Amino acid sequence: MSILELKNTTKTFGDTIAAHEVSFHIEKGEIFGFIGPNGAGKSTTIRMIIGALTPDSGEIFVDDQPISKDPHYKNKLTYVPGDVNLWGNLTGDEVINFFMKTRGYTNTDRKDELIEKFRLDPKKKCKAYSKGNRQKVALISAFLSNADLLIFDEPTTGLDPLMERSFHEEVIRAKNEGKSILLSSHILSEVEKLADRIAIIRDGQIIETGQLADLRHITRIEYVVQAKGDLETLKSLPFVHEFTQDHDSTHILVDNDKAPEFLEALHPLQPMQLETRPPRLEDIFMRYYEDRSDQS
Amino acid sequence: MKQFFGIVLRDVRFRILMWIIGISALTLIVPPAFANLYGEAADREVLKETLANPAMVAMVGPVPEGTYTIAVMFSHEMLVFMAIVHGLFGVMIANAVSRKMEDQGLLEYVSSTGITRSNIFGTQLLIGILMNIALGAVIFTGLVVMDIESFGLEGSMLYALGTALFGLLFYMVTLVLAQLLPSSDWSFGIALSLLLLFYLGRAITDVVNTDYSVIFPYHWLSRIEPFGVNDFVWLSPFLIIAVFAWLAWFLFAKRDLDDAYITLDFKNKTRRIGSYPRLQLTGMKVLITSWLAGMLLIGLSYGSIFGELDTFINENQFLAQAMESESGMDPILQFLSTLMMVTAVVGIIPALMVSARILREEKSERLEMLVSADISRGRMLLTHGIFGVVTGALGLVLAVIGMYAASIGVEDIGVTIGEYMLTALNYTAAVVLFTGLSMLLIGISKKLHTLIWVYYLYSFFVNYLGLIIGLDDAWRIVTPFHFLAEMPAEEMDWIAWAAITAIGIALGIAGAALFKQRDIG
Ligand SMILES: Nc1ncnc2c1ncn2[C@@H]1O[C@H](COP(=O)(O)OP(=O)(O)O)[C@@H](O)[C@H]1O
Ligand SMILES: [Mg+2]
Repeated sequence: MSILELKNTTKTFGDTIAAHEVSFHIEKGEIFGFIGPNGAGKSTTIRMIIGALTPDSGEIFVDDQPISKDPHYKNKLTYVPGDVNLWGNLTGDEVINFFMKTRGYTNTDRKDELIEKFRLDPKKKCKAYSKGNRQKVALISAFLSNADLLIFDEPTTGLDPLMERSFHEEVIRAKNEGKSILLSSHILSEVEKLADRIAIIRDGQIIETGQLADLRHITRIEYVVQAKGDLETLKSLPFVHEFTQDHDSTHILVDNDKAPEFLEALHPLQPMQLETRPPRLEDIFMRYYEDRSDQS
Repeated sequence: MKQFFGIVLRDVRFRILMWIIGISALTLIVPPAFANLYGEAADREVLKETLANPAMVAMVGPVPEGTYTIAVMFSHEMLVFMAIVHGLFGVMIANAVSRKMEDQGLLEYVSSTGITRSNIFGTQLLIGILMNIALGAVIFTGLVVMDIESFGLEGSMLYALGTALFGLLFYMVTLVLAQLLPSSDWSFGIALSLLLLFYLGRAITDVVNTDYSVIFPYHWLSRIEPFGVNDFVWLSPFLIIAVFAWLAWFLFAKRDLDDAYITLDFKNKTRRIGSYPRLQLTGMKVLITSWLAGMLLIGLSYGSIFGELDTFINENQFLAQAMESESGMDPILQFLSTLMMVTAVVGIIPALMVSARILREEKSERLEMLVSADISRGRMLLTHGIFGVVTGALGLVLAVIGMYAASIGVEDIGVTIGEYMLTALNYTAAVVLFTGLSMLLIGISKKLHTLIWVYYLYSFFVNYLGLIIGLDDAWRIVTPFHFLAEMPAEEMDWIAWAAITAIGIALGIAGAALFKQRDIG
């Protein structure tokens, strides 16, 4: 059963097609990564889901009900925008209480736990908070609800690595409680660890959806190698792209699904050091478009 | 400095341009209109007589001696009123380039790129000076080019220079407040309060004794008497601008960014804010209470000159009889109704400010968070509408209580507190209509809402001119004031009242319905 489903939702602003026939669904208890570069249409899609924007065409379902027919579907979700602004004259505590109250959530122990975990000083006025602290207030408020669907638009941009980890832990905890999570990001590696499935959006269009493992055919891994032999000989292999040399090591970009072949070819060259770098979004796009132009 | 000046100017140039066009248009349409309506010297002398009564003096200032030429009439009736607009221009732009930029973190950002404090302040100073010079130049050129009888070069120069200096004065005062106070809301609020309080103070002293008026900058303009005496000397008090400029620089140079000399953060315990109305009420507490205090003050100031009105009528029996035979109404009630109307028009402002607060939620993207928490959009807008109407109505009630209290000792005013309250209720219909229209515009689009201020300015202006020069009532036909009874002189017109209130409510509900459906953000 899917908690959320989008069917061909389209949204245009003047000449810009911010979202073009976007379709995907999120299963119950699933973490769903929504990846795309800046301006791809992630926020626009999310704003349609939360009802701030009305789609030009297409339909959105929450719990298999079209949202246009269910005026109170929003009590099934919580949302944290990418750029959090709060009421300057309210303290963090007051904001968190406000959202708890409006969502009818009463567990204050859980609140104290989250405040502790995110190291928030809740007594300060929101205007004195940094971007990261404002984000923490919104994240804490979002976790304090009984909603089944948690939507985060680029949630970790203002957080330091330690807080990012706390956030990941909370996301996994929510998943274990059976909740579904929509996580948008412009950085693939950030979502990759958490997401059960991902969708990749670019220029308003979903270009791939699926489990990351299934997307291997479109990802490339960067290997950083030092070897006794001459690595130049690898250059001519069909699955090797971009080949660059810096002072003591060589960076080689290899199709993800061809890792065994690559390692086989590398072995005779007596590698002394081998590191891998996670696939980057840009590389995915590059490969995606190369494939497309090969086909046509 | 050059780059920074360029960036800041690019940020505010559109607003400055709009203000300059608006103010000069408002100023320059008047002389030809006066020349048309009051071409005859005899007509002007009659008008001058009627403007000598305390109600009018409170509004436009003391009547100048000497011949009442078209130009003198223009400067007499426009100067004090337009000074408010010039002042507002200064306050808005000064706040935008100082405390607001600081609140948004822009000053901190540019400081980090090597732009010094003196560059920043120099830019702020220069923008204030240049924009007022530009406005003065447009008005001066306009007056000269129109070449209407009695508009001399010297007078045109003094009118343009005086109003430009007035604008610059409030620009500089706002810059000082921007250093003293902790946020742009505060510096704007206090600067606006000073602008209005000075106007009210001048209204009282102009009626009681103009010697006391000299402490109010508005009166310096009256004393210049452009086109009449052309007294250059009264430009000299504006030298105080230099003191404020120095003070602003001194305070700015000595403080940290984002710091303030007066901090207004009270360490209070956590408030229980569990609903949208509570949330908004908490945010608008200062706005609402200061407007209510302001309305009470307007009532007290106008009430305090009723005694003078009474004396004036007793001393001018001839005029009083003329007025009475023309309209069949007690002249003192007519004056009172005039002041009441002005109060009612001003009382609409807080209602509009409160109802427009929802746009602040939208612009800061907080609205989508609220929407996602399943708070109904229609209900949010209705909350603002209701708060707006209640604030407006309470303001009117406080104003009439102020009038009543301040004029309790004046024997010849037979208006009971009940009649005063009914008057407040009467004008509440206008508050409802304006608020409803504002809600409708918000419901259609966030950008369209500016139109409500255009409509408001139009209503203000035609009412004002209607009161002081008897502008034809046809101009007011698209405003509620054409239909509502001019209480307390006239009897309450319940049908007009009910119709206008009903239209206002209908517009508001339509606005809420549209707001539910439109895209936000
Ligand atoms: N309210 C709007 N008006 C006009 N254009 C918009 C609006 N919101 C987004 N866009 C445009 O739609 C496109 C997608 O934007 P967005 O959804 O914010 O992307 P992302 O969140 O993936 O960075 C961009 O080109 C952006 O400029
Ligand atoms: Mg975005």
